[in-house]
Amino acid sequence: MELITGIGATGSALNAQKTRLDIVAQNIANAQTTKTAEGGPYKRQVVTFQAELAQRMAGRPGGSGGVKVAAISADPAPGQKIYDPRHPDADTQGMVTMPNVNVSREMVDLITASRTYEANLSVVKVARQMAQRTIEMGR
Amino acid sequence: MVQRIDSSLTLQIAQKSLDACVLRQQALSKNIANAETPGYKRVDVAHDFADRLKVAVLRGGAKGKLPNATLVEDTKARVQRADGNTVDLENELLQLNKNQVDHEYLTHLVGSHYKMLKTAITGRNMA
Repeated sequence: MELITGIGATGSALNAQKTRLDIVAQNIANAQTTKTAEGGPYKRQVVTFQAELAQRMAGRPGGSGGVKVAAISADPAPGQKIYDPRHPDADTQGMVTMPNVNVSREMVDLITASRTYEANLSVVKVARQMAQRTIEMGR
Repeated sequence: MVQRIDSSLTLQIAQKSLDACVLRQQALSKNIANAETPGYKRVDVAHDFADRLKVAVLRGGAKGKLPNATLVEDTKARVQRADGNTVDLENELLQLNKNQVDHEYLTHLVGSHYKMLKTAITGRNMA
């Protein structure tokens, strides 16, 4: 029995959104990184979500199925090439391949993630108040 | 004949509705948690629960058989995103608040019912 209902799913969602915020921060931080350990410019990372216990949920939609991070994968899109012959990572033609990070797009992602995080927080608040009412029922 | 203390029909209806409320809270928190999960379909308390409860009450449900609320996939929900997700975050938050008010009303109802019982038992006003 959960006294505060549905808090399990919400907790996992808060975690997942936080991971997403971390990845967005990483992408923005590396928006100009042209050299990485794997070689080549930094690749934008994308977080994919997955419903938790998807197979067990199939029969009963009532379970407290949360969300988890399915994968953090690299965006395969090619990075923009700019002409800068004095750049240490420039090729023989003087072109530098920049990371495929679009900062304005990352900002949109940042706001979406933070809004979803807030929505989940208000679920916690409501669930808590409901539990409080239930406890006070006999008084 | 002495009636059982918890046999009041109002109390039974309130209990079933309260169960539905808690179930709904679970569904809504699940939906909001999965607002960004590709292909997730929103769940909700079965649409016909209120009708089934009403029918059972009209048939004189005091003798026991009131329906239980169940969670089902909401097939009427429109697809909100290209990945097939049917969660509309604003609507979920709206329903969450509505559900909270419903819950508050029902707990108040049950609470005052018990208060009445206490008054009847002790002969003192417990307020």
